[in-house]
Amino acid sequence: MINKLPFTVIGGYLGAGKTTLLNHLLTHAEGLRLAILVNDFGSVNIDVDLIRSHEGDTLNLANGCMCCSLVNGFANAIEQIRRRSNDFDHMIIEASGVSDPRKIAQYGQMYQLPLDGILVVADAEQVKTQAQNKYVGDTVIRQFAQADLIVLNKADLVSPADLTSLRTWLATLAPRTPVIDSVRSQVPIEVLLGVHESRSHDDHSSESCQEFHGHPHDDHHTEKFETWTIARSLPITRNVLDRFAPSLGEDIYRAKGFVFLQDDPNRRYIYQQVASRWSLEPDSAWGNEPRQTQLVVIGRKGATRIEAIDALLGNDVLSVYSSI
Amino acid sequence: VDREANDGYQQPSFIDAHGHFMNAPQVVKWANVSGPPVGSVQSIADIITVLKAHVEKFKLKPGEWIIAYGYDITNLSDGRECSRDDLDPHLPDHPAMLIHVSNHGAVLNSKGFAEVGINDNTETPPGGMIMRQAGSNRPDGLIMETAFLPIFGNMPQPSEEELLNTLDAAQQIYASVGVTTCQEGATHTKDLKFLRKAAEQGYLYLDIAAIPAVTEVPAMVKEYFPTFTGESMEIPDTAKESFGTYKDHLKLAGVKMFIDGSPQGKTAFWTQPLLTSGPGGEENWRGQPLFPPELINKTFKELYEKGIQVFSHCNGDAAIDMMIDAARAAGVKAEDNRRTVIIHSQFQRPDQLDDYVELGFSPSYFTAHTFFWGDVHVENTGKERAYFISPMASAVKKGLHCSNHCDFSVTPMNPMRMIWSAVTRQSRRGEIIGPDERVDVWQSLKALTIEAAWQIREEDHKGMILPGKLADLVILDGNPLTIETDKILDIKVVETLKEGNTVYKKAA
Repeated sequence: MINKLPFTVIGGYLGAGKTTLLNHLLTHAEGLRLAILVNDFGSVNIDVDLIRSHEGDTLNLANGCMCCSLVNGFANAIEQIRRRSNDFDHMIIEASGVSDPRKIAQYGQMYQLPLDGILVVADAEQVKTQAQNKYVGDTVIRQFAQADLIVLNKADLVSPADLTSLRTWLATLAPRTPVIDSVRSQVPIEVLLGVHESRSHDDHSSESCQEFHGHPHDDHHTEKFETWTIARSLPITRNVLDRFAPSLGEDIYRAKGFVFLQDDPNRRYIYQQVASRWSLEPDSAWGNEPRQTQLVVIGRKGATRIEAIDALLGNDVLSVYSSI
Repeated sequence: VDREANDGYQQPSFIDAHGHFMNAPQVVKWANVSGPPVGSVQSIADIITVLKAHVEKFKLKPGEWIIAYGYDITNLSDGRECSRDDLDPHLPDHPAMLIHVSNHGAVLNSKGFAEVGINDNTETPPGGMIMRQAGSNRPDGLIMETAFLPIFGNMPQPSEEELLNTLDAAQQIYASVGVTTCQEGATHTKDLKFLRKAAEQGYLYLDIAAIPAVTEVPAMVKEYFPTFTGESMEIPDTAKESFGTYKDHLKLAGVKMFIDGSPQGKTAFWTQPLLTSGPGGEENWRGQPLFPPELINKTFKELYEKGIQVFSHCNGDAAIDMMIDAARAAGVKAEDNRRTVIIHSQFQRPDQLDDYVELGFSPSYFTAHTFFWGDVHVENTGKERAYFISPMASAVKKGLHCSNHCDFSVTPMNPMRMIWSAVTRQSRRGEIIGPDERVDVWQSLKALTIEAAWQIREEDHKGMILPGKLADLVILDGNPLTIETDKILDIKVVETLKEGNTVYKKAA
């Protein structure tokens, strides 16, 4: 069961906003049941009304989420979650400020869990100073190179010119890694953790077009996001998929959905992508469901890569919903 | 106590300046498949002999695990890894796990594989290794890293009663080599609870100085100061009253901070990169600290202001720099007499000795590294840095109090090897790892007695034979001060006394 539980690692130096990001996820989970492994939940400021029970090193929340402290070690925390793996949709591991998130990701993978992605949070105001610190500068820089997505937090504390130069600098440390500006770690959960099955179904039943907004009160400093829902009825070859992911570019943060694969037409495949990391995993047989490829793509507003989508869909456009 | 020692040479018993007592109850239940000098294994046939003797000694019932430590292919004359097929015919009834000397892997037999659920269909996890037999998917025996760690984490743990019942054997590891004060050098909350219970119920006859791990401090404050309302790393003003006094042979000596990992594992934190690649194949690797400097400074200041002695694990010079910065930021001066102990202090730079003098730091060195890993250190860091590891001679010249330790169970509890290594600094290959840092036998003995007592503030009653001091004594069958240097390793303990009572006596 636990094999199905995808996990995300959140890294970044002390004070970057990891805890704020975790709080944001907990309060905006909206039905997504998160199991969060934190270094010390003394530091996670969870709304008391949200806490249902507190047992040893775990906190159970009324919204179905759980926080588990890593104080007794990773193996112990994983065991707590393993026992209740059916109760959760996604696991998040908070990496300590000086650890390499890729190593933390390896710890998760050794329990045969699928890695969804590595997010690294940066403090826009402090990060350049931190990168020069004689003790931790090289660690801070290494963390960015390991990220799938970088959240450039506290974007409101620096000038637009500084923000641009920070992005240029980050691009040298982590080429082709998407960088998302934010204030108080307010980035939509769909961008951070991907669209989960339960929610993508909801998307189809209501409006396919959505516009997420990083922070409602601060247009100037945060990004607008956009989703596209793509569907195609003809089967797709693996070669086309191989070209699809890299062609999306760094303004596309995520893609997820089902694939109708030419060389295995009776089986449904699950496609997942976080920035340049992507995977295709066999799922169950299609059965009576209509056989079609159906992907939800999330990116920076206005970043639609029509040519990439064209390449995937060919001339068999069943539908493309854009959100603007 | 004035006692004649006709049968040997009497001196103050040894003090374990840094090690992990809570590893002892485990080690006594495990078989030792290490190569010399830690164990006796030189071939796969030797492994079988040791394991069969272990089953016999502990009267293991069918189905009970055989756990062994110290497995290492480099000790085996066979020139290949031990396989399940080597073990199966001799151990058909027991699952067996031979833990690799690095603690990052193990060899399992067929019953062991079945028990942990690894078979031909098990995929190798990223970052792990499952050795397979030629031309098939069948696991051969050895599994490493991420393939091993979760399995080890899920092994059945001994009950409290079982652990209590191993405490005599655990203390005999120390008493049999003349040690009467042990250190539990990174105590966890559950270990402290266990040790308190053991002390109250009279299981302890040697002194144990427990040093809680700093990461356990919030849990301990919650356990022992339930009404305290401070922040996560804050400590109640009255906490210091819990430190410094033995009760039923158990005391809290201070709090253990740790800044980096180990040099042989390449997880220590240096200012200059290694000459070889990092543990994950990284280029220009110099390791990294375990905590950010802001957190280290804040934690040290809190402990300092609350009057609690700090023992800090620092192996690399950059980790040592971080502790020096933290102490300066907290306003520490040598005259405060706080005796901050820098555990290992291995890759110390010469200039840092003056900082130790200024801040009243006291190094606890690990000279046995020159033997066990000296050759590896030369390869990784070059001669100049490697030759200055655990620089006891230079530290003594600066007037620093310095002890010597073995970090049990990282290396065996063996004071004679500690003395010999401080005096010779000879590596496994026979290279002298820093001739200038060798000390005389007298100094090496002080590091295991009076200096080690000073670091835990017990110099007024331990570490010398004088009226008014405890009769913590050891009688040796040779005099380390006069014996030929290479014979030091052969000196055996005849008898060990704790407060005048015999706690070990060599069988006639």
